[in-house]
Amino acid sequence: MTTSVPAGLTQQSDVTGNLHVECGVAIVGSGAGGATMAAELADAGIDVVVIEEGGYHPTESFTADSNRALRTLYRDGGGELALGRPSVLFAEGRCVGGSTVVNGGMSWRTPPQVLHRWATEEGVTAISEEDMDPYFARAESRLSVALQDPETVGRDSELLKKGADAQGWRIIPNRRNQLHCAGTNNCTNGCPTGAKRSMLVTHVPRALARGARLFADCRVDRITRDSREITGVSGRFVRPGGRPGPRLTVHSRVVIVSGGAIQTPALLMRSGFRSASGQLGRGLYLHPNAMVAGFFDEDVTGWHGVHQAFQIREFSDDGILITAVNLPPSVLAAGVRAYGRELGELMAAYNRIVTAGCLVEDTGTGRVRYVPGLGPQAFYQITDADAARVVRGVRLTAQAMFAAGARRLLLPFDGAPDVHDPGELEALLARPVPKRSMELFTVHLMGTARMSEDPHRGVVDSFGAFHGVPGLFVTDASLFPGPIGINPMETIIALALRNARRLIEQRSRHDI
Amino acid sequence: MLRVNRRRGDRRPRLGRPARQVVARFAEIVCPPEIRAGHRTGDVLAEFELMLGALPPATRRALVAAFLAFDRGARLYRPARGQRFARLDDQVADAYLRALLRRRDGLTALVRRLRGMVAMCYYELPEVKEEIGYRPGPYIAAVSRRRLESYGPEIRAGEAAVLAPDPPVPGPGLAPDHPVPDPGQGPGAPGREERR
Repeated sequence: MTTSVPAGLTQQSDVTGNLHVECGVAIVGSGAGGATMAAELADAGIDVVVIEEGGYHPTESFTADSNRALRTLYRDGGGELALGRPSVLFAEGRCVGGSTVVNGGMSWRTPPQVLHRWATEEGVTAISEEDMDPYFARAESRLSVALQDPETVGRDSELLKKGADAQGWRIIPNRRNQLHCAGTNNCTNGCPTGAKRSMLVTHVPRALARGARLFADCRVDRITRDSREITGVSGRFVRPGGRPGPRLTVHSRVVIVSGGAIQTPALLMRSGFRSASGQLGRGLYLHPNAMVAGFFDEDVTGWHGVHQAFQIREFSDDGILITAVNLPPSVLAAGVRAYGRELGELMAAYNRIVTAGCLVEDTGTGRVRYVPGLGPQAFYQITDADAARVVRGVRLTAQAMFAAGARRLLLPFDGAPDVHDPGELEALLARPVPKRSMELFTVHLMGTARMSEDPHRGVVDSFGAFHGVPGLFVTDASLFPGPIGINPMETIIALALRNARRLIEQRSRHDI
Repeated sequence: MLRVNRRRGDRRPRLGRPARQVVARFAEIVCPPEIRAGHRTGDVLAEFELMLGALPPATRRALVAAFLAFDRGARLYRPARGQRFARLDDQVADAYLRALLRRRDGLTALVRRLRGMVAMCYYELPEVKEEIGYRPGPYIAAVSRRRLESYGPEIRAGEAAVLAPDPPVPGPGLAPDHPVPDPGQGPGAPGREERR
């Protein structure tokens, strides 16, 4: 397939020798935070260079081939682990546009109580609901945030709603960043129509159109500095198969790190930055998720219709969200315990299966360490309280599935038998569920470079500026001082819009 | 033994022969029986090698080592009578795998991960997707057409709006001593890199 590459975008195949680049602001990462910052700063006439480790994959290249997507759009094939008992499987996007290219496109404002907590407990300024409202509004306008067109809601989502309605629970349609989404259910492989308004089709082209330059396939090794002054970043282009390519050296007066809650602290640590708070790399929250698979008598064809049309919000005050998430067959097969003939029988019913998951707002935290030779490694141990919440979330998800007509459920607890009715479910969950048996995963990683006005409590200030290091900023979910209990993308974008404005106002101070 | 061969210019790392034998045998046990009936073992291996290519070198080496250890570990399993996993008949190979999955310890988690990866590769084969009724290509094409037919003008307007200027964010500045500059065309232009 031949596709045109936007002006201003350089890929590894374009580069034959070492490059030296001058600019005002270097941004590491092109996801929700990095691309938004790039678009805003370039809008204001600032000379911006974005460096993205992943490749450029345009909309036309996206297909339903899940393994190909995992190989090309995700870091490490989408199979990273936060080590603990149990370990938590997690996935991060690694491509131009970052995780916004492979997420489900849920767009929710930060809950007011979360903003209030950040203001009162961490002293974060200009973060009230009123302060943030214009930034949320701008994010929603730019990304076409809206409810789904009704014809795109699939049967799996309808069944979850039926189950929630039967239980008398509050269930609401999801707000998504989409421009008349077709309901291809291919969000996690990259949207094949461009209807999902990821950074790839919004803030990246906006930034490039305003003169920003983007270097894809380039891994930043270090942020460079001269005594206390930031001087830029250095990295290497990555050739196919991971072979190291030419070097890229960027000279800039400001560096903004936007690599996500795992890579951002790792880059800062290996560049030698320390936080007086001791919080760099700590405070990792990850919204543990657990999945229930339900077998129905009817044909569901869960891959028809939009990904996650609804969210059960009845239990959001208790930190639990529930939604139907169709999994492609390869991902479902990888997650179930059956193998051999039994796996074949289970997967033969693929089109009658609904997969639904619960997300838990966690109270415990993990950390990221940089392990020389291995790279960043996340560690996370779920607390007893959060484990109890996972069990409750699974129970509620299962109850909704039975209420919708499920005949058999697979639960995300190792060794747990299949359950066939609510009585079996209650009997099973009446016994303690060992934490180590829980099969958990996540795509929401937050909080390893937390905001606080107090340099002894946070890594960065209220606007993402690294305490004590002029010219160094962070703009991604690692800013969050705590979990937010909902999908984090819109919060990241709104904070980036707000922090970009602050930086633009102070541009003379940074000489950019 | 742990090497992963790489042919020049080929993105797909090739497993060494011992590892190929083990992964192939493992696939025959963990995948449905149709893997043999449909002569799909080679395709699963190819898919697995592609997946390995997406992993960092350390993880890749660790996975290959894990498969080889799994293979050799069968010698300690009494019913295997000192044989490697790759040489066991189906019944004993299945019993060995089942015994490891029953342990519920770190080893179980590792074996489950290996099992998951191989199953994932099997269900990514086009003929297997077809067999279970998963045909997303025609569906995606149909709903994409419907989208354009139903909402074409709005979609084009929305896409064009991405590049349109925004009104300034209302309200006082965040650092009032420094006024917000007018949005303008950025100075950076593609191709300004200096080669040294």
